[in-house]
Amino acid sequence: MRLYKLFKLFAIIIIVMTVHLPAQGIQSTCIDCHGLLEDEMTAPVDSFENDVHNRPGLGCVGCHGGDNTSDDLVESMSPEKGFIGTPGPLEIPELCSKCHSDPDFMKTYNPSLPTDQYSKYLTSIHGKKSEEGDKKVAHCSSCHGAHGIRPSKNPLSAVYDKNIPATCAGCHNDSAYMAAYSIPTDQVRNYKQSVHGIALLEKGDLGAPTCNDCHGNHGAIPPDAESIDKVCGLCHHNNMVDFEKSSHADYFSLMEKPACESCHSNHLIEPPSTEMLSGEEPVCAQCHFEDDGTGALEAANMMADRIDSLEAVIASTEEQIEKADQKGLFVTDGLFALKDARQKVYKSRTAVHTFNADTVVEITAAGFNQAVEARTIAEELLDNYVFRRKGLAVSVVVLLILAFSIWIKVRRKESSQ
Amino acid sequence: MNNDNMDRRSFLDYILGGSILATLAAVLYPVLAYLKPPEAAEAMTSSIKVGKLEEFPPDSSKIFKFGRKPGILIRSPDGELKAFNATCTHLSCVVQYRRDLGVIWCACHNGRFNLNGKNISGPPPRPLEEFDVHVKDDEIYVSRRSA
Amino acid sequence: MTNESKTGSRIYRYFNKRLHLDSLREFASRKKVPSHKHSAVYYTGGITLFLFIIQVCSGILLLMYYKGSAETAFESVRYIMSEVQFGWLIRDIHSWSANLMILFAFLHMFSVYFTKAYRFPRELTWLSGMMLLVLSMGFGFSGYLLPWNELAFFATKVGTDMAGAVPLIGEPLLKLLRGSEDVTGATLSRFFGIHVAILPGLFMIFLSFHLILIQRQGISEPVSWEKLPPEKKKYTPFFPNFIMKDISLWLVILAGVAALSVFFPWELGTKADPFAPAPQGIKPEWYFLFMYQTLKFIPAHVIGIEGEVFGIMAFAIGAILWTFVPFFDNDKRKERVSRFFNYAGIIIVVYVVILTVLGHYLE
Repeated sequence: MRLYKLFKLFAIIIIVMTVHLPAQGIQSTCIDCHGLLEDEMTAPVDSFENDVHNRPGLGCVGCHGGDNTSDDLVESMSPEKGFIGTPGPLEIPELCSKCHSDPDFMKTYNPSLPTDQYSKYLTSIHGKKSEEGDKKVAHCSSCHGAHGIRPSKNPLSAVYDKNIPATCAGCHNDSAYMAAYSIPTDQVRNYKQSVHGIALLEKGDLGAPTCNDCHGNHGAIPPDAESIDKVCGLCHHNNMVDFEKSSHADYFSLMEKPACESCHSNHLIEPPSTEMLSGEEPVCAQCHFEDDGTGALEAANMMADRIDSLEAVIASTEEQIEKADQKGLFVTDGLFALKDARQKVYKSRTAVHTFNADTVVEITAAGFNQAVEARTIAEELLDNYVFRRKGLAVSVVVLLILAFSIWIKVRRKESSQ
Repeated sequence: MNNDNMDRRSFLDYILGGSILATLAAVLYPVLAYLKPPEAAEAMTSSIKVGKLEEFPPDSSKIFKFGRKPGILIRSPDGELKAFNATCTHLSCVVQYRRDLGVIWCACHNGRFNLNGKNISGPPPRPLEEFDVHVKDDEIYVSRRSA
Repeated sequence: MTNESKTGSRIYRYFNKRLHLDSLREFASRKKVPSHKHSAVYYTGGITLFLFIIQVCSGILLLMYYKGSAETAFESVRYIMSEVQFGWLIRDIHSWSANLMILFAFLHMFSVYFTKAYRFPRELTWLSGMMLLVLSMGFGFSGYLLPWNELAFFATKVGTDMAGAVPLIGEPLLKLLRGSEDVTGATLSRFFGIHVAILPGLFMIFLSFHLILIQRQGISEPVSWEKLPPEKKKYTPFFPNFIMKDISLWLVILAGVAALSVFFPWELGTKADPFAPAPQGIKPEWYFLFMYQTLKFIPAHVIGIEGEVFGIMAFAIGAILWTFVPFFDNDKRKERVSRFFNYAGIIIVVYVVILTVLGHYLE
């Protein structure tokens, strides 16, 4: 058996020496031999073809060491030539960082790529556990893959925006795998039902946040109570500003309650509605109760009421405008006024985070005026439509009188003939 | 009798003449009104007048109506005039010029575009559609770019 | 006499010397229209003509603002309807009058058919009339696409698809109509050109021929008058009596078109999107419905040929037979032949009416 294997290797060497195999990217004896092997020994060759590292000067030896110019089995993979075999999970981050943390080296390939991944990784939960010798935590190739690494903007990459939830879920959704860590495993399931998950995964909005947009990627850590509003504020800027200026900011931090999350939850963020303010279980009621002296629940009801009624006015005005548009009337001005009113809805919903009912009332009042303006335009147009009928009535009478008098004239003529 | 008949006839002639004139009016009035070019610019507005140059000192902006969509005209701090479709490429909110940041900013999700309309941060996936700006006799004209 | 009529007669004399108006007057005074209980049918042609005149006038007005390209067509129609004063009226009148014109053309055709007015010497009048009907339907088909809305887009798609099913010449015919493989902006340009240049040109030629023939041959008398003694035949002078009645009727029609335009305006719908899926219930214009519905009823295969091809061929043969009816039923002495064509006509009318109604209500 052993003899057979040796024979096989020998045969391979002979073939390699005599037949000139077509080069795949770079001339490499690693690829020449591994390409002829089977299963796991050949797998890296196939996937490496599309790897971003498949470039002159990198290739297999870039990570594994050894000599890819030598035809000799022993020599090409000798430790003297730096061959390290398959690196283990604890060795990988340092191995990648050899190049990726070296700005001088990186700029010869991709100057725009940051070089702080490794240092960030060391600050992450993954990195810290890895340092402690935990082999189960994520390291570079857990997310990026080993031999088929593609740039993150490539839709086939495991770290492409839309693929990240599935990549993280690989471990974080596996309750058996995560058992030792006592953290929940429902994040991705929740995320998929959230407003962000639906926007990214179903509507294809690449601007919507995926896991790493809030948690960081190489420096993955859950945002804490102090930083969460900064994280959400990256996109929800005005909400953050309003909140930070509000009376709530200090109390939340005193009570160590996370800002946004306390009302909106974290992974399962649903599209916000006024139900949150005045519904069956208002989020405010987590801390406030009726007659607690702050007037909070009353203010919440007031805000919800104003926003709801503004939206109702806009919806009915929209119907009127639609009606006028279908009749071919000039609705552009109405559409603009309505658009302004709708902007006020967004603005007032943001202003809820001031927790000051007066601000919301002020904004919705402005919105009301714009909606009324739009409605007036639509109604005037529809009235104009009535004017058409009056004009028509006059013209029809005129035409019929003329027709009738001609007819009489002919009749007279006929009777006199 | 004969006289009476004459009267009836001439009465009918009056009605006839009058209604011919009225009919002509009823037909010609809409036609002439139709031929009068409307105030609003042409269908598929390709170019509109936004305002006078002196209304726009450097570092100022204005939202204007361009067809059925809003546009934004910006005069940058160094005096250059730029115009874009003011609809954010993310979720169609109306963008605004932030003098303090020197960028075009969308309040909805903190999307930012530079003064060339390029999306530079936040969720917007594409640059803003840019319009051409021409100044003629101190009037600023904005026009759609032909494809 | 007054001064006015003196000047009037001077003007008349001026033109008479140059244009021989006297002979025209002579001709006009001798022109007469048979007067009987079915005289009403004599008005159908005039009304069709009047509606055509409305079409020409309103069409020219629409041309002032319409822009025929895939990017601008829809917007320009919306502009006409919403921003141009009375633009809505002009567009609605154009649409309504188009439909009424086809309706009256059909009425005119059937009234000529059943009064057998197509017989000698009027075979050529009938043929040119048939040509005018085909051209009118061409106007309708090409004009329907011009607003470039969703319904029009898909109706045109279905309509041109049928042209593609014609044996042998189907494929090139389809491309010729569409100007490309599919219904695109190229189709719109083509239909626009056909609608405002080619068809009007052809129409004017055949219309002139049709009208000249009517003037040369006089108006046909009903078959029943053959045996009537001359003193029992009553006539109305064509000029001015008949023409004035015609005009008063035209005014009523104009009022009717205006009323329809105000109370039943044509909606613009949504802009055509070539990549959108076809909406439910796409149907051609009502005057194509009986053919469309028939094609839907025909089974997939009839005597070895594709159902659609069979249907189109059947309609083509039927149309040819119908067109050449003056040559089959040309002898008043052959009563049985004559009666056969009466019954055939009734069956066809009933068939067209039923299929049109079915086409309208089914699905």
